Amino acid sequence: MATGLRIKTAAELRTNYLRREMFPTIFCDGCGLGNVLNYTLWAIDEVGLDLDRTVFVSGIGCSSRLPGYINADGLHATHGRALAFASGIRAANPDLTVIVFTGDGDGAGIGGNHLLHTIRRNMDITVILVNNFTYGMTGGQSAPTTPDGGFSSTTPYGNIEHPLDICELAKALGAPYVARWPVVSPAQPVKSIAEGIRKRGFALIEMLTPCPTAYGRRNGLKEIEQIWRWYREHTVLLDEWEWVEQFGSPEEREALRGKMKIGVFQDTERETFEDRWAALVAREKL
Amino acid sequence: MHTIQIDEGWCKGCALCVIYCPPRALQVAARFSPRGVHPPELVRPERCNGCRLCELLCPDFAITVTEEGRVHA
Repeated sequence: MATGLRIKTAAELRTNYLRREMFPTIFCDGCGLGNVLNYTLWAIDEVGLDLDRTVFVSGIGCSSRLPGYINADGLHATHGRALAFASGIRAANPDLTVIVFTGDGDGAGIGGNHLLHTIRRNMDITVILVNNFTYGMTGGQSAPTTPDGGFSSTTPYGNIEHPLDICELAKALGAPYVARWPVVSPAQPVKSIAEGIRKRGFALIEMLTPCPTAYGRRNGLKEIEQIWRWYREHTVLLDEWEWVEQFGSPEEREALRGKMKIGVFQDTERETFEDRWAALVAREKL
Repeated sequence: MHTIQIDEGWCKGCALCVIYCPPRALQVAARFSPRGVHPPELVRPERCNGCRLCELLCPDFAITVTEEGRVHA
């Protein structure tokens, strides 16, 4: 794939892809969801997707408001069931490109089971999972991804549960494309989302997104500049992480604690549900 | 020279553009926009190199960078 990205102006994105009457967005100040939308539009433009042949699916939550802003067909499904609806669309009409916006609470908490089985089936879907460590829309309850010791409205003395690593889960289940990026760095997510759309099979892009209102406020990261800087300081590139684990000093290894790996974790090929279904139909003359 | 256009109906005044502007050409304005927030303004246009990072990082698609009289045509 090309290494350079073509520069796209906000004016161009606004006229080509957005439903202008829906703006301004409902997202809070300092929320990264608008950036996720921006990067997704860049990626769509990069791939050259036809919006008339693309469906955006989402569940419930802040992140699930995103399809409403894009001038394409969308489906705002029930809580956690975005992937189930998306699988249905792909099974019924494999000519459509399906992109799912979901959150950590929606996709990994309430819809965790659907995530497992959609990856297992390897439906050709691109999932942009926005992880903000909390259930932001309902008032900041703890999510499966809330970090160890993180404060939320349901864990006022700190979270005692081990957080779920969604990318490791997807990797273990054999998803063909798994990546995680924070929204604070724009170019990598744009490229990853574009690769995910091009990839035949399930592509999961986890976006680490600041939530100053519901999560940051309770964890001493209320200011926008501060919480955005936190994401920069607490993420380590996969290559660097592995290097430190292998050759780093004990202090360097200790510094990795509480930080998150970012990068492309898996990029392989795997037979998709659509391929196998087409083969079955041909074989059994259905 | 570059200029920036702010859609004041869409800007929420989060100031991410000001925080991340590499040559520090932007500043939060003292005035209020019609939405009641402080929009960014280009106070040092001679510093702006047209990298468009503000445009890419704006969560609300509110900034457009325009270029006037390009030197390297």
